[in-house]
Amino acid sequence: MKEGFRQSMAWLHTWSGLLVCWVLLLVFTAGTSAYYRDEISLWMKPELHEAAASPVPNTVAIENAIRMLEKDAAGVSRWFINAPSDRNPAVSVGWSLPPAPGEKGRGKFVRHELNPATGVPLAEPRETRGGEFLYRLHYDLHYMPAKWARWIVGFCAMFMLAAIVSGVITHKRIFKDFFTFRPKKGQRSWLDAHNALAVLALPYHLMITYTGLVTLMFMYMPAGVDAVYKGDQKAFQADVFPAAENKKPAGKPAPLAPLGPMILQAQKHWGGGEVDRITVNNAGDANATVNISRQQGQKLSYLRQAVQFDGVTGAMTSTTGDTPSGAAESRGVLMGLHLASFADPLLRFLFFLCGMAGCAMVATGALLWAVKKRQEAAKVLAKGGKVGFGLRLVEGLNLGAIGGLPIAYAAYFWGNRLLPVGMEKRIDAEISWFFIAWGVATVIGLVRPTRGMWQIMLGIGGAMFMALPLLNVFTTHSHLGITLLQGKGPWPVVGFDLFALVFGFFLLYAVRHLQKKKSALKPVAKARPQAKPTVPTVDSDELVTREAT
Amino acid sequence: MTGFGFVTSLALAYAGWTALSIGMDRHYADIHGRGKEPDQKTRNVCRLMGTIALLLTFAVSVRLQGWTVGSVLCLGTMTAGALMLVLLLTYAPQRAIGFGKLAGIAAVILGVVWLAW
Repeated sequence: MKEGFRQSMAWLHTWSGLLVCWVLLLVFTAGTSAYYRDEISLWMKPELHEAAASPVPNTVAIENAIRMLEKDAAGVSRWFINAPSDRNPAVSVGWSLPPAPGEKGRGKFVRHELNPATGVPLAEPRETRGGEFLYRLHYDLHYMPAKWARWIVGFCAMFMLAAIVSGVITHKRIFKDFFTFRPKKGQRSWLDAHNALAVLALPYHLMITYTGLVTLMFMYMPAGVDAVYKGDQKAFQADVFPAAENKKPAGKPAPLAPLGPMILQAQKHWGGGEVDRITVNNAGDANATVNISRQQGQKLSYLRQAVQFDGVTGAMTSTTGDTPSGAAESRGVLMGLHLASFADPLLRFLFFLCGMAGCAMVATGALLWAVKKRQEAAKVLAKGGKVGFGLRLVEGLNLGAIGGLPIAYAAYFWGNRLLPVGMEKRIDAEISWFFIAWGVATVIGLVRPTRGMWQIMLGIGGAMFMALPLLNVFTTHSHLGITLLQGKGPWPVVGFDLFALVFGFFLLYAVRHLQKKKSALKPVAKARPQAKPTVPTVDSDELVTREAT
Repeated sequence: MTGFGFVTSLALAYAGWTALSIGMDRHYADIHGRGKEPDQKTRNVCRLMGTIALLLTFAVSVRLQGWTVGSVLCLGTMTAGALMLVLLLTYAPQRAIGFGKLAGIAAVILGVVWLAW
């Protein structure tokens, strides 16, 4: 350690942060949007909006689904029902068809989303990966094998963790500056903003980074598992994630017992709670089994309880997940904190808010480095020197990431509305809109990282977001005029549109702010040479000598 | 009514942070004019009130959603309250005391409504 502890931590903070900040910004923005991935998926499937507006009690939805299955899937041996949840109002059913003659293993899998109120299959929505793409993007990236991507993201997350810890150590005035933000002071303002966003949401930043690493811990740190299980992944999985055994069909026909009493029995066993998923194996056979799992509800741990029944007698045969081990529960809680599926709408919004604070923290940190170096470079420039390659690169990447990502997200949503519904490879096309928009923005950013280009990019991003609700008017039947003004919902779609308006407005406000700064700077720059002669030259000489002594 | 409970805890968090900030040199000076410093008694009262309000935030959150999810909710609420206060202290510091008092009163009223519901 060549300097003091705090200085070396400052060094670590700067470089661990800067090296990975652009990937981190992508991970943070995509991960933050994933808090609303069901809502985003719903928004991106306008065909489902009408059914989503009329939720019914779960028991009714499940009964309707069972009736539909009895009619349409009679004679099928394995099927499931996904009950509606607070966030996904549709009920979905699926079954595997018997394998075609000459085909081995399981047959084709069929899946339908049903209108919960009627049990009638919904119109097939347009092909889109919706919020699922953004969710996957935040740890699987894209255009590369998931394994590489997870190593890259894990590497960046580890750097992030180092940056957070070293950042807290290096922040001398963490309590004195707790609430401090001093705007319009250049570098100082960026530092204040970076500090405030980091410190005020510090529990969240630490939690999300650490638990993010925990979600993939078996991949990042396989040594422990390998040592105990000698590489037997199956034995390990069976120990850690206990699941009910699937019996082979007996070949003797027997009718399936009614599901209603089983659901009641399961709920009695849990002491309340909603059903998440019902799976039936070997329906119509003497060895039929029924597995009913519970919704996570208000529990931090993401581990789910389940109850198994004998499908013929309807008797409860076994339960899983009632008393998980300490280690499993600890991991379950850490995973649960990261996924936040326990969060009700209010808490979910707070998670989203903290996530956005995280995005802004990463962005302000990246900008801060460039602003600092730019000030140092100003002296070099004044002497007729050149701006270094490093600073230019960082400025370009900053513009590409911070200015370009809003455009990329907006392009993805625009693609969803504008691409023809029946087109080939529609999913890939939507996703390529995201990356083409982002790629173009980054290239332009690298070529011309100027203040004017910042204004243009933020302006385009803002305009594209603000125009999304308008685009809905022309491309869907569920625009704000109907969903909000006529109060017909569905409310997640209203929320999406309003957020797009507010976020777009915020970006345009940033453009205006940059404009004001520009015009405020100019008169000063012009005024200075005029002001100079009023300062007596003799005095300034005197001043220098006085200061020197 | 979780809505009332949540607004109560948010108001408490906001009021608590306000009290803590008023007891600090920089923000006291921002509010009362340059160079003014809080005396020791003001400092202690502010810190005590702030701490109590933040503890109450935790209590309300736990009552709303239990020990586990409630603790998470408490941290989120405190972050949201603090972010709002930073904006106010930046752009309208002279309003900070008034808004803080208002939040405190609102917390009491909403809290009573929420508990009585």
